[in-house]
Amino acid sequence: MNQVSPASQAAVSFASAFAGFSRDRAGDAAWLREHRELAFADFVQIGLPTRKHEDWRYTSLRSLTEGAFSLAPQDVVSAEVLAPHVQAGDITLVLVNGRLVTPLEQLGDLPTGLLIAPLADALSVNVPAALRLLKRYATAQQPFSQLNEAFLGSGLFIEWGPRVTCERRIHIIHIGSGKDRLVTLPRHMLVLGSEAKGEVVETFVSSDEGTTSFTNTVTDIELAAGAQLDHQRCQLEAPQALHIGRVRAELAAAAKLTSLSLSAGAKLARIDIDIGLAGQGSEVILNGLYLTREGQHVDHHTVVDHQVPNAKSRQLYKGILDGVSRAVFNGVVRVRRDAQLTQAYQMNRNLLLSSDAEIDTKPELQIDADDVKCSHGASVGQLNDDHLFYLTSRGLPPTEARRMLVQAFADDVMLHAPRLHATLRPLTMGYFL
Amino acid sequence: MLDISNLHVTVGAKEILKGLNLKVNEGEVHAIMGPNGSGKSTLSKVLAGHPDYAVASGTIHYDINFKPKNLLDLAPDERARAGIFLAYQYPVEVPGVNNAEFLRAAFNAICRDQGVEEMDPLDFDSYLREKIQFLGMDAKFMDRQLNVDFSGGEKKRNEILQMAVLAPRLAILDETDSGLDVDSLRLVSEGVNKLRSDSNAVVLITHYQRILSYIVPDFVHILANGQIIKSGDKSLALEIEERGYDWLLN
Ligand SMILES: Nc1ncnc2c1ncn2[C@@H]1O[C@H](COP(=O)(O)OP(=O)(O)O)[C@@H](O)[C@H]1O
Ligand SMILES: [Mg+2]
Repeated sequence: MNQVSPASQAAVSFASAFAGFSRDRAGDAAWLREHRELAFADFVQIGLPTRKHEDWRYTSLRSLTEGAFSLAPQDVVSAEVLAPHVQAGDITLVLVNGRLVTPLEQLGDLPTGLLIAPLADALSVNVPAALRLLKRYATAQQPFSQLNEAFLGSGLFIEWGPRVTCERRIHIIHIGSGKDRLVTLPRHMLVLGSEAKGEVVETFVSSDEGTTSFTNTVTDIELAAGAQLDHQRCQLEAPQALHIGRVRAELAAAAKLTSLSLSAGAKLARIDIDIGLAGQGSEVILNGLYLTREGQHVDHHTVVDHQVPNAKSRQLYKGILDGVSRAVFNGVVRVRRDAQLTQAYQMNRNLLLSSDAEIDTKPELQIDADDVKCSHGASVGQLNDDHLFYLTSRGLPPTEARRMLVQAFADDVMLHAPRLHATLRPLTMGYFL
Repeated sequence: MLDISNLHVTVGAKEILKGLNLKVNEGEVHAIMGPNGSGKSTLSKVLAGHPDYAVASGTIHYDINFKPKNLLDLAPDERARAGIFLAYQYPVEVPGVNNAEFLRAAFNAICRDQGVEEMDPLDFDSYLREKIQFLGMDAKFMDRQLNVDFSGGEKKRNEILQMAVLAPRLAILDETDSGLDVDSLRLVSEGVNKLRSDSNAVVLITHYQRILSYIVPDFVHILANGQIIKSGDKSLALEIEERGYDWLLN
């Protein structure tokens, strides 16, 4: 093997896509073009992480270095691809290869004070919240957020004004299409004013089973005082797809975020969830469920930063692993010195259905305050033989009994998202055996 | 319908059943009594097909479509679908599995096997409700997780509910009466009696004469030290109640 530095690998894989993108966007505002250039330079300088990076110890990115990516082109998909995910009553927004294909004027009546716009438009008219979020994360040293930043312009900007409640679920459906080494880099911003309330689901699917695309997505969330958001992310991409996603949120006083990360698709999925509890009395609930089968690898990294006193965090991540597959869970809970009376709970449970599956689970509690309630735990186990016997001894064939127990393990998490659960149950039910 | 001959069963390296013989015909109720640790639950688990209990020698034949079949050739789920039901002495708790959903799945697995149409959730719900009422149970139990945090008595009644729903041909009740109060015992007994017919049979494992005044047995067997050492009619149970087992053991 000849030694190629991570930095030059990064350049090789994405430089021509970036050059093409820059040419296409030559008409954008100068500050935005410069912002992208800086981000790309940062990305190249940081380089693609290798397993020597603590954060990537268990996850190899080799498949990203196997050739250059081009930016996924505009495309259309058939109604059948969409149908299983579209639910009546939702505000549905469809992105194909990162480009919004739903005409916004067709969304019908939206609550007053709810703004849904392409992020590019929000940036071109300098919407303050959009600029604020850009600034907040500009110095992030994560290569994939910088890569996403370099291609800033696709994705949505959604803002709920103060006290605006949207009862309808907003469903963003990402569809990756095409068989080549295509990359899609959407960025969404979800901004909730004080006391506002909303629900957003992001679903990631592929147009067909052969899709090999690379999705690198970032969703930025800002909750003002007392705002509440239920955010669910559902990664169901094709078995050869690559998926790297990040959710970043900052919560002001008494704000509440409920987050679900479901990951069942892709050959390699890495999901980072960074939560800043910046206001007293804020609360975050992070739920996750990952399912892996033959050849899949999924890695969740969460960081919950208790910056102020009196905030709560609660994490439950569960994994079901089958075949030769691997999952990683790394959960950092940081409690700053001033963050007295913090309550932080973290649990990671794993069900191994095959002896060839492997899980690496690592809680990381960094606690600098003294009056706090923090606990964490992790477990790895197999299906319980006594449970299996009980179910089969009532007449259930072993495969059905196993499926019922696997489903029961998953339901624990999925019941936090009842509507998603209803649509996903047939998918997760059929996932094993 | 059931013919057990010279059955030897081991758990690990230990022999627990040591040449047990038992014949059960359609329409009969057999009570099995015996000291703790004599192998009663072992017998019931072997009939259900529990993998921890190894048959070292002997035979078990069970009639399927009026023909004796080697029961040991059947997997636990096949035995259940062929009409064998064991009400466990200690029913396990299965977190996350919904009680009613599980019952419907089991019921429909049996329907499929017999080539009968499966019951849809609504029809099954009313079928289930009727059984619940009959057993004097609270319908709330149906929405709970299977046996999770049920009291001892509730678990036993849930077993009998499953029996009533699945309508087995051979019901084996392992100390179902232990831990039941008088009212529950009466309702459970009525449930069992309702199942009794010319084509079904019941094997009742118990320590107490009490349940036998509700479910009157045709035969009473004493199991001790891995064998049936004495068989008689219902008067044998009364005698045991009075005198204990010691007089039989020497
Ligand atoms: N799974 C098991 N593992 C080890 N020993 C067992 C197991 N089941 C039963 N035994 C032993 O077998 C003997 C008979 O047990 P059991 O059949 O439960 O008796 P009974 O139901 O008549 O009280 C006891 O000595 C008991 O400890
Ligand atoms: Mg016993």
